[in-house]
Amino acid sequence: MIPSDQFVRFYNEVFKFIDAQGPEELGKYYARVSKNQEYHCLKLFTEEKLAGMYKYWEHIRIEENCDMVNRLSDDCYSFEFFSCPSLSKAVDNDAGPCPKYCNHCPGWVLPLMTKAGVFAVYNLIDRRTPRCEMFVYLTRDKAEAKRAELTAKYGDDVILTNYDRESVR
Amino acid sequence: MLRYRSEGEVHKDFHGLTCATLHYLIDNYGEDAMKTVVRNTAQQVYRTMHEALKNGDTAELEEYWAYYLGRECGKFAVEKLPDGVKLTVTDCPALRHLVKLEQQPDHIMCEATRIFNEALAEGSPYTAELKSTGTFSCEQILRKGAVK
Repeated sequence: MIPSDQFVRFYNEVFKFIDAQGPEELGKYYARVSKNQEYHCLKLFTEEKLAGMYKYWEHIRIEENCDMVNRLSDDCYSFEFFSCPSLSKAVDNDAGPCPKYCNHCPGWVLPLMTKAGVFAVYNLIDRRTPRCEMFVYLTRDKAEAKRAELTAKYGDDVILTNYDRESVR
Repeated sequence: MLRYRSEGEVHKDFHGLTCATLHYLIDNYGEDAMKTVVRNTAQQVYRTMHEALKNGDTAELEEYWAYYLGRECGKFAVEKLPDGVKLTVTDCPALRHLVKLEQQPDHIMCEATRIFNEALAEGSPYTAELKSTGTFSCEQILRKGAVK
């Protein structure tokens, strides 16, 4: 059995292998992961929108022992990871981290946001440090304003959205 | 001593994604792809356990089985044999959780475990064997020389 606690380090090896198969391959795998995650999230996100996202990531905060905060207002759901347990495990790993490890999160989350009919801005901050944040809005103009603010601060490479980019690779 | 030790809550839903990923690797890149990823996990992620086995030391593997199956509330026993070590699983938490996720208790998980154990034992005095004893149960043995 690959223990749940050790899944991340297995996942990290999966990313290394798939990335070596071609530049489009990780994107296809993220799409499969996103499909898998529909079982856990799609109904919640589609029916309850921002409140459903808050519920899902509160469950994740507890069950995955995350040092993070979830925030909810009338027009925005956001999370902020102060120390992502997933990348932390991938880094604390005798096999070494996949440089693209962080991409998997927006890779599965953003397609679900599109299916839920909302506008998400994902900020990876820096793929080598276990921090990231995401902002989700009901309207595109608010997402655009947040994207512009974050891009000015962090650069274009780490800011991803579900509404104007090709799939994450 | 275990190289990795997790604490706090356990997110068992990862078993669902492990299962989907094993199938994804086979469906898209062939059976050898799945074997390669599992083998890399066993020998590179669990390098200390692999190296210890090569030196004839099963202690970290015994601790790994007991610690992680215990965290997932599996029903199991770890037994030292005169020439190796045996894990008897009477209720596998990974297969049990797949059922909770409305999936079949897919034995691709057992196949991955067999490959994982064989990869851990590669280059060591031990031979790994996994025997299914039921839908949610198995015996995993690492024994010096050929398994009888």
